Amino acid sequence: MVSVEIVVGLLYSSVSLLTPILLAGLAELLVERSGILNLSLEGAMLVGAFTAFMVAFYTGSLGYAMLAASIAGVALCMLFALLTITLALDQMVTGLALNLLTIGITSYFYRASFGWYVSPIPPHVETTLQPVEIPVLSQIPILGKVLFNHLPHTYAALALVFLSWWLLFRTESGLKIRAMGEDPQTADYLGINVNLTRYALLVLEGGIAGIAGALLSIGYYNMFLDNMTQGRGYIAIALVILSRWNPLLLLGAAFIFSFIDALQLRIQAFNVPFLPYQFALMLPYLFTIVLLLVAGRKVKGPASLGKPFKKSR
Amino acid sequence: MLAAELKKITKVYPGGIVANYEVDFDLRKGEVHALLGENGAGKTTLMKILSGCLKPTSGFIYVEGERVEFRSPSDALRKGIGMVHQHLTLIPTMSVLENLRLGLVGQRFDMRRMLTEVEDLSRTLGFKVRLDSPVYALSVGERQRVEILRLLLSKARILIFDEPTSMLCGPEIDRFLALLKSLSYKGYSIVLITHKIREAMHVSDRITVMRMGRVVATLDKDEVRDESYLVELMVGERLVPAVANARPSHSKEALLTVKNLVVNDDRGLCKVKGVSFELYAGEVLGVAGVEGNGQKELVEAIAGLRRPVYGEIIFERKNSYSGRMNYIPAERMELGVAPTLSVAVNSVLRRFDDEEFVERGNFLNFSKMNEFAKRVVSFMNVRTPSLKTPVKYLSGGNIQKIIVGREILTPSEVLIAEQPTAGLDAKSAYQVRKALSELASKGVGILLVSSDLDEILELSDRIAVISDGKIVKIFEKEEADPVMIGSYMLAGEGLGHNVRATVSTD
Amino acid sequence: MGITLERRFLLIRAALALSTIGLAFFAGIIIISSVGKDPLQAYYWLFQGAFSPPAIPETLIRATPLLLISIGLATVFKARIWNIGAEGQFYVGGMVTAILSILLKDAPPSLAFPVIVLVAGLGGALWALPPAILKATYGINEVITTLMFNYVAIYLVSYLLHGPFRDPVSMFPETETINPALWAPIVVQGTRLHVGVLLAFAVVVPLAYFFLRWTAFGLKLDVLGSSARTAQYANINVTRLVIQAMLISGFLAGLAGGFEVLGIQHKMRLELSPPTSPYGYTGIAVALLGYLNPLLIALTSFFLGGIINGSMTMHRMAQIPVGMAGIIQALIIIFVLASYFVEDKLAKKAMERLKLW
Repeated sequence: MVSVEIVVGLLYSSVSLLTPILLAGLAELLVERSGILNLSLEGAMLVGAFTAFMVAFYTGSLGYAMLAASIAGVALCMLFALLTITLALDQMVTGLALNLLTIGITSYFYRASFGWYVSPIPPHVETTLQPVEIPVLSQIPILGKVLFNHLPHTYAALALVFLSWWLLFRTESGLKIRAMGEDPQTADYLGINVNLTRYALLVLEGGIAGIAGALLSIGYYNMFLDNMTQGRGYIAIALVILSRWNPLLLLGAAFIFSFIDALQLRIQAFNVPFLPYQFALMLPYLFTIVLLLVAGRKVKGPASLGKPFKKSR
Repeated sequence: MLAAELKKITKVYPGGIVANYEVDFDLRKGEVHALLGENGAGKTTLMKILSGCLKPTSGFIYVEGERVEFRSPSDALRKGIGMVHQHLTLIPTMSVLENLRLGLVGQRFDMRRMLTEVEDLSRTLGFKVRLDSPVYALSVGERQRVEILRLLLSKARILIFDEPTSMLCGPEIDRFLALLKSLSYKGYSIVLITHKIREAMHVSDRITVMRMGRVVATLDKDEVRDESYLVELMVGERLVPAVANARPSHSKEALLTVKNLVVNDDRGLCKVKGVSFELYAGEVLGVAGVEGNGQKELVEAIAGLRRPVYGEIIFERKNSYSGRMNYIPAERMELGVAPTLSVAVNSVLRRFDDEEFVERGNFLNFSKMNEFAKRVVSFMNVRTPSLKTPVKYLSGGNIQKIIVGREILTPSEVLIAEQPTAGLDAKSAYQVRKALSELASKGVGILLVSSDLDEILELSDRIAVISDGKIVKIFEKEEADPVMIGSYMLAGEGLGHNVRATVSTD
Repeated sequence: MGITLERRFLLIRAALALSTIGLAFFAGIIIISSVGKDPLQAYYWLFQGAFSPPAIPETLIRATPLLLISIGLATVFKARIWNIGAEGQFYVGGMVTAILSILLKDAPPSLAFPVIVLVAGLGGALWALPPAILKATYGINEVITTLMFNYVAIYLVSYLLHGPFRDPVSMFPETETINPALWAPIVVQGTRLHVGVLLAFAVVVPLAYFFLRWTAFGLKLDVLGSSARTAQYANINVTRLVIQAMLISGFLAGLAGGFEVLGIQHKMRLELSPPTSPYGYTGIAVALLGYLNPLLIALTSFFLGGIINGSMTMHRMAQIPVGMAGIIQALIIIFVLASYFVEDKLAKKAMERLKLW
């Protein structure tokens, strides 16, 4: 018999694990709606995780750590913007290259600070982000436990789902973003500053992705590990495809994914004899592929997605 | 009183081509001013300068007597100048309302006020538009009206139309020209870019004729004694002869048979609704129709680029030629060539299975490839630094020449020619028409799809009229008459309007 | 006129490639100085470890898996199929090799060896197949699927090495050492240069050069890479081509894994690929810096193989973290991309000057 406790626990950690992937996915969704495919989302999360850890380690301030993480994410996405918007380079390869760069840079500076032979207990920060219990609501049986005792970022991410839906479909800015994602030439003709808007969206994405990465290093863990994002950025991009570029559907897709992730962690923790932990670790990746196969076939995104835009005179 | 004035406008393109040279032009308030000239005379360039799309190399622009400089089309729109281009600037996946809204970005916006204005304008101009319908579901004429509506909403007082009737026909053209008149009575000043003399005479108050980048004359309509005078002004002495079309009557041997073909477009809308015809050896079968009536999908299905939903395409490989079906696509850059590859490779683009260039199924014979590429280059007079140059560095016209030359020089049994002379200079266009006619004389079956009815009438042995995804009539050359063809072209369109109109009233 | 223009562009391209490397190293100076180390001393050790005569055989050994992988990547990259799954395909090739070598340890080596090598390649190809099919038939983004498959491969190998195939006497998760009779034969005595190195440089490189440049197959890849719609128009069976290219790419990565086990490690380990510059990802830099041309890739794989070894020497002698090699590689990719931009600009300028309108 499966006890209620276990189910509540599972759902609670699903919601909790949802946060970084949902934040990253929402940011990428907005950027993709404007016609840019930013694979360096993964890298932005990784530098965010690294920077947050370093700042938290040396200053002890989680606030500064978050701020620094988002600045680092912005810096990386600005570099991506410079290469793909201003120089109109291939977005796919540029994104890949920047991800390799961040893996190298984070690992290099981590080792430059802490040395090559990290002792059995790697350096860690003393305090991590703490959940905030929402009064009254958290007292609701079951639902209160699942939904209303999370990091502030979780609440922010959920709010952001509706905010970004509203932005995209109910505001003039959203109209502009969607127009340039479909046809940047026409948008430009109508007096919309395509490149500036895309830069702005990438700044936003960098900031959010940096924070999403920071949640990994100083939220769920208290340390930094090489390549600790483990493809989470790529998974977020896959979820954006599944959501058909709709923030509300993204929430659903991200929840399904984080549920699998939570399940996977349970399997590891309970040490199920017939299921080695490596198979549990594989689950999120296999699941992403299966999801893509089931719901991501021949999905049509914004018409100009991934194509460089050159302003004609 | 002048609405706008252009003085001593010169435009030199980066390639060194002089599109306009010291052109003077003025537009009076409330007039319809036709800008008449052949393709490439510099009309569009001049008006793109007035509407802020292009910057003049030198010269001055005045609006209501005030000197202005535009950095973008929206700059010009702020001064009340709007242009309806040949390629409409609507976003197909968005609704009419969203597209209208896009014309007003960056301004104080009130949805209720916009809706009232749309309603007022639609009523006075006799438009019927469903605001929530996506643009891709509209006919070309309806799209044009949405585009006009958008300009009027953004308070344009000067309206420029670039060959607006080229995508319309018959009654739709009349309806459009009447709209121009009524706009001018309401005080709008209008420039009509056209190469059709009759149209200019029909609707305009004044006519400016351009030739080779210069203004030849500006006349009041009443000054024009007869139309042949305008023809002289337009073309000067250089008259392109029509292709002699005196082929022996073609055989009744069908090379290509299409039966009950049904094809959907990318969005799953049914675009070809049961088309059947036969293409005989040695004939040119012209397909006439308003753009967007299923021609594109029909051709793509025949060429094997789109899977039909239903029906048969029977292409019997007779032994007369290599048994190929050649295809000149309308879409040049993303379909007709591989932009990053060389002129040589692009000259044999569709022949990677051909023993002549690929020996034993896989090994390339570069010298044969270069030899053939040289033939294409010299036949069409392609201007390229070498055969190794990636085609993306060539001009659009030269790329078009490579595609047309390749498909004409490659032996074939059937040739599908979609807008084969679009974007070519008059001399090359003549050469292409001549080559097509000669191919037909040699027994090739040619399916000619063109929005240029004159071209179709000049070349075709039979003319199939396509409307709303169906072939509504096939004319023999002798019985073909532009007016009749026009009315058949609209058969399906008209029906569509009625259906939509009834829907929009409830 | 025409010829001089093309010649000039070859020279410009060479100059750009060299300045790319120069820029990457310049950026490296900043990064090394930023942690308070002496960049000149660091670079001295880097080159000692990479390209000094005694280091050359080891650099060639490093270059071999890179070369095989990046020639496979060049094949798919030409068609703009972004396979980043070479790492997983490499691991699968290695694992399959170790398993088969254990199973066939008593078989006649002259028979077993070629079979094992072949199966290593097939293993890699098999691992590339699902993403290839998803891409070719459903248009699912291959970057995501191949990356997901990397993680699946690594965890699968990890399971096999911790579980069924773990050498019971070893402290680490690794297989037992395979029968020396099955080791890849050494071709230069006194070094670790094995037959795989020879095969990669002397057979695979010229063969790949020929196939990519002189056959319809190579040309079709170019057309597909130039424009997918054009490929369809050119009567190319795109589905088949994508799958073929991915299989070749996977095969070569699997082969690389096989030779790494048979020639160098002599067992399957979790760290078959150097953790700070995994071969599968470094191969991307190698292929792009080599302009997807197998002859140039032979050079660039030697160069980047040297950087990997050199960075280890640099770490030992000057305490510079090994991540440095990864940074240099990524910077090289970025600068190569930027050089495409410069080249395009220059070409357009040159064409404008010719006035061919």
